[in-house]
Amino acid sequence: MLTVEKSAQKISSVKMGDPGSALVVGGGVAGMQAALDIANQGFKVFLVEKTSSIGGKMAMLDKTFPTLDCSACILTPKLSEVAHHPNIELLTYSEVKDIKGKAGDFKVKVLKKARYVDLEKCSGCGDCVPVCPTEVPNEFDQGLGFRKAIYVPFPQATPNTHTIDKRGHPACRINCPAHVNGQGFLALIREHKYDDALEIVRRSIPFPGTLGRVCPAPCEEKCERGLIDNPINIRDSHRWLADYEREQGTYTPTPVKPDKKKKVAVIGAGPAGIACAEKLAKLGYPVTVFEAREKPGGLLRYGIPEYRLPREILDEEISMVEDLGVKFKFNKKIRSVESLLEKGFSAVFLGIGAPVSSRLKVDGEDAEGVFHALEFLDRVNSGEKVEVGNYVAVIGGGNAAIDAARVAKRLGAYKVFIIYRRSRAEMPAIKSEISDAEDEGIELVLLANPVEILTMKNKVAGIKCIRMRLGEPDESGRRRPIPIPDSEFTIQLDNVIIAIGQRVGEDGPHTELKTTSWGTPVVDPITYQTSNPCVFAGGDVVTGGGLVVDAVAHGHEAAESIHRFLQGQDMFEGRPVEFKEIPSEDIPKARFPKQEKVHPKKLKPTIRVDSFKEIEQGYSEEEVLEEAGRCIECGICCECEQCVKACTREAIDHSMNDEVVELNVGAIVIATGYKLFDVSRYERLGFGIHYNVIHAMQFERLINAAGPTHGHLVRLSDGKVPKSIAFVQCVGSRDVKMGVPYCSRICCMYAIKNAVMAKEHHPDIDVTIYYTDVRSFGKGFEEFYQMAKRRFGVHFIRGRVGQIDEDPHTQDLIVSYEDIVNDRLGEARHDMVILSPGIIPAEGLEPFMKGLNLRLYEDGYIQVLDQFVDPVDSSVKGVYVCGCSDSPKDIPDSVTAGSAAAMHATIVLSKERE
Amino acid sequence: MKEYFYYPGCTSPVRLPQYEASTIAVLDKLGIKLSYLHNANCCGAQYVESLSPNAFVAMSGRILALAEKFEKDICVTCGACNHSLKHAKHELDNNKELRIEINSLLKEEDLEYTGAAKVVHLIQILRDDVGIEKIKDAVVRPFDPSLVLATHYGCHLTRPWELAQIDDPENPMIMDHMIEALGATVVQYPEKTRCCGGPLLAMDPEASNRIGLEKIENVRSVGGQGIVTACGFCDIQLAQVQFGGDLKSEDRIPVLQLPQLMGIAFGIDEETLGLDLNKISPEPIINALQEVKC
Amino acid sequence: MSKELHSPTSSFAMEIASIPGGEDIRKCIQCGICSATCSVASVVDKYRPRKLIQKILIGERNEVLKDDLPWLCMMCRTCEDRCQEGASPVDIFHVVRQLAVKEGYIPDAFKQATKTVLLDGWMLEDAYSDFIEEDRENLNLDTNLEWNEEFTRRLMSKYFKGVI
Repeated sequence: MLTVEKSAQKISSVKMGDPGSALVVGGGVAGMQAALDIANQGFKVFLVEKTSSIGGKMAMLDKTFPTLDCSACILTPKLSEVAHHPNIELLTYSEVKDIKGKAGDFKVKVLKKARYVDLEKCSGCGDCVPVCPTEVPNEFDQGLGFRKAIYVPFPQATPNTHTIDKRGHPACRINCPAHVNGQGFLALIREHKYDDALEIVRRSIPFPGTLGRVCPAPCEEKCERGLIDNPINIRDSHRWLADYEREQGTYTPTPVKPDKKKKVAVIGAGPAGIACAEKLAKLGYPVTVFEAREKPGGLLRYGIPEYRLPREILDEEISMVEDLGVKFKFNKKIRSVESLLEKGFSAVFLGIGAPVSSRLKVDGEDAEGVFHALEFLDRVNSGEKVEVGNYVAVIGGGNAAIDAARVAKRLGAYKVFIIYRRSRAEMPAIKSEISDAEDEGIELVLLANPVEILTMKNKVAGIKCIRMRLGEPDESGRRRPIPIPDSEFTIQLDNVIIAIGQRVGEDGPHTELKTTSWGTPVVDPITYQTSNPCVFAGGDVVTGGGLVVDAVAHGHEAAESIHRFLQGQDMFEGRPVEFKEIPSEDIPKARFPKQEKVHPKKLKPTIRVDSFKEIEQGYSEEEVLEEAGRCIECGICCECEQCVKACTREAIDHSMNDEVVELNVGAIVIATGYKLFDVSRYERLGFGIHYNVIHAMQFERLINAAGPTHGHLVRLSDGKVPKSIAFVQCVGSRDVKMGVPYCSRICCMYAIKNAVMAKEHHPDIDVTIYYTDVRSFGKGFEEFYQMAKRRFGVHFIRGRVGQIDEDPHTQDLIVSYEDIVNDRLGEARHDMVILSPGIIPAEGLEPFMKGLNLRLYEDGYIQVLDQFVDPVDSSVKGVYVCGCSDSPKDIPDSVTAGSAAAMHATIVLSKERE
Repeated sequence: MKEYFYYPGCTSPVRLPQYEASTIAVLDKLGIKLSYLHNANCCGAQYVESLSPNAFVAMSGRILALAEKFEKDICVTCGACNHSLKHAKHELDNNKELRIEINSLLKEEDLEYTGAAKVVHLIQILRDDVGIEKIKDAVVRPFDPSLVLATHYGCHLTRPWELAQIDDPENPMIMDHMIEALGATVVQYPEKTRCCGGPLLAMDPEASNRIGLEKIENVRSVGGQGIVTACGFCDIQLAQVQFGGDLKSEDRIPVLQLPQLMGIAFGIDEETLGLDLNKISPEPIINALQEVKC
Repeated sequence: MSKELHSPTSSFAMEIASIPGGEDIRKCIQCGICSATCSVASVVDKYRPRKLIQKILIGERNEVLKDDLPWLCMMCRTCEDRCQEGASPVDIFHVVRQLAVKEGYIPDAFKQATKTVLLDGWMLEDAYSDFIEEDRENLNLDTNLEWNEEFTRRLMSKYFKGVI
């Protein structure tokens, strides 16, 4: 069942709170302190946090300055206290979206993003993590490692439940008419979970092997990988899965016992009919398929040649549908739907195709030796021995034309032409089929249109054509071909095959229904219901000639409609399924190096034209693993549901929706914290250019025992312990040109702390800090600075770094600086350089600005009422600020401000209490 | 056909006439017509610039006023002229007293500066008037990607950004992209944005040479087989320094101006491009052209 | 060694700050990024832009105005690009040069070059030899480089009287 079906449900809304409660925005150390202080006075607090866990930046740190206390040891008791406090309601993975009101009565809309994990049921055991096939760069580890799509940001995350990161649906899945989950099955191929991968494909199409050979792959048209090098070969990948199952002999029939009484009839055993029957059988209905021909398959058998689709494959895949319990009745032509309804069927699906070839309407069309493509291919595919002469021309540019041409060659024609009235770029056939045809010696005669079939004694002797040129586009969007006067030419021929299109038949059960001007039955575009409510139709009979995968999609949709119709349910609810498209620019591609597509093997053209042996050999296991490895996992979580299988507590629910919570509160504390300045903006310092230049938060993660290297300080280029490291200060701080003229207050101290930590890890490391000033103003700070110099031997050089270059052979870094104190210019070689980023205000304040007119300073920090005597009041009464949301602060000052803001908030709340 | 006045500056006509010739030939091929600005004077860069800021603006201002009188914008190929003219324009546009002072000097020749004439460097014309697609289309014989070249922009082309408006001073790539369109591979090298050392020649020739040679070494250290320039001064300096210092003659790498490189790929003949006048023979670059496909 | 009193924000620094282009001197916090960046400083030991600005800040007027140091700057503007305080050593040194000219010190190279360009209208009149004329002819370029010297001579008398 497509889990995505439920996502179109309306987002539910919950109301909470009252004017005597408070809202704290931001779950960092300041926000947590504020929440605790308010809650401990007996007021209810809603603590809203954007990420999936509270803890903020402090959770990322290893040690704090100036005491070198372990950050997690100080923080985790607070996390626990917040989580267990009866007055605090945690809303994590949530964002404030809208806010209005005034002090004592604010109305706040909070978007609770779907985690797809039930908070009550998840115990944080982590069984789901090893089975998740998707890895993305780990944001908590500052991009230094990977995490899975289902994850916990750090071991003490609060709440200690996992979260699933879903970016949206990948383009391959959206663009496929049947919505095959391309990313999902490719991910499971990479995990060698071939059975599960095949199961994912079979959720959407019953013929992975067949479609894996004939589908033109609309999925690949939009594949994002195509913007890096080539789109992923999704089609041959699911073909391989089907072939592998065949090879291993692991298929076991799983018949479904019908649990419903109402019978359904399907007319036509083509892809539309078979897909419809398959889905209905799985839903528990007794289904009978009536097929006029001897064997099932429709155009799959009677149209597509064997060298593209071997009959064994087709037969086996259809028999799998039969194994479900679907009854097939062959040689049964149904002339009237009414007759079936009278026989006791409650609903009917029409999948009778468009089997009539369009006529060219030129003189000589009825001569001997003229074939129409569908009849020609039908006769060959039925086993008839069809004779063709030496010179054959096929008129048309679609797949039927290519098929007819290549079949004619195999029947022994010496020279085969394809005559098409537009240019090669406009030919609708699959591009690889066109070039394969050319490799087999078939000649394309482009920009030419037949005007007359020349006959001798009513037998084909040749064809007269006129040259065309392309004019303005017509309704199809393609440029209209216009004949060039006096440009006729002739070709001598033995046969002409006309392949310019197909139509629905003149008579048949569809004539009982309301039809369009083309003779196709009118159907509802969503439900595929016809003018007779018990009758549904899909496939070529509705489109007039489309892709196999379109027919499958129609069949499945019609089955769903029939099911709802028979159960008396609303046919339109939740349809069509809404997919969440991901804008291309939101899918990071820079980290993927170019890697050519793996091409499946093909038989050589010289061998192939002698027989109808299958040409495309498909992938080997090695090749499909390589190709599947190229998928860039656009949606992050691919809904493969391996996590669902692994979870013993049934805590995972992929159909969860975002929720909106409407809070009514009396006071608000904003503790949104800070963001690190993006140091890649300093090209001269080489971050993102040279391997061994990192920033301070990455350093924290490296030396943190819970980090990506388990606390080992190593160089990124070779994993070796560095012998000489440098810290560079004032990066993204004290810089008028970068828009950050202010001092970030914490970088001098945290750099000294990092330097001392490096020495503690490796006493022999040479550590240098290149500074502008050392701002060690707080209690214990100056002593810490002196200790770093004297006890730990950290070198301090006064001189802002000019640039950092890389030695291309060793990836060592060369730092250019002026040593002002010692009056010399220097170029120092270091193994690793750590840039100390300044801090800038966090995002997310727009709802406050829009709804409450919250004022910010020019640099983006929140304005306080008075920097001296009212430092925690914002410009809006009832809204308080703390932590780094109004100015850079260290941890003790942030916590103090948190308590102060809490106090001011409760003054307002107390009034409400009275 | 777009038309510009060509102001080649003092140095190119005498020390690097091949730059002039190849610029005219290449722009002609790309549909841009150049005509000379007669009766002009030096732009005043470097020397007058240091001694008297007003005289400097007067010298460059006169060139702008001349172009204005004959109603065409100016194309420059020298980095220093690029800076001088854009600086003068900026000063005259924003400083009323200065403008009055300079216009009083120009009055004698019936010239007046009102700011109508614009100044663009050759690279701007190639990027904005022509475009990379047209450059690609004009290529007759592309270079083989095994040809590895380095670009040198020079100081006055990109700095200061507010005046020059050509490319990011810390990471200029516009010439790199144009050269890639010709088929060659462009390599990045340490200290790509450094000055060539030319301006120091007058005061300390030895230091000037060392700065230039350091650049050549940086290019060679990453496998660069040639340097492409867009300023006459830089070109002369980067070629000249290779004849001093410890550099062996077989280690010298050719220095070409951008229009010379483009001209080779466009199929313009070597005589028109003046390739034989380049101090270090560009033979290895010419030999890196791909074979013409039959 | 000067006998002047040294003090930060000296009168010399104020003087520079009062001339257009020299205002930036007030922004300098002596962080050293300009020296670390400077191409000239990397090859000429005695030249460091921060140090030169420091001399201005502490008031060593005579030493600065009579030295070659302010004339070694190549005006490449890399320091200006990188200075985080938004200062431009190039603009400061331009002002220093103008002051030096007023006080009568111009390095010979600059004096000569300026004289040449103002008298001839362009730099390379003397260098334009017959050989080069021939090269130009072979390239189908105009050999008559018509430079105007009348205007620059007027500038010479207006701006450079008694200077060169």
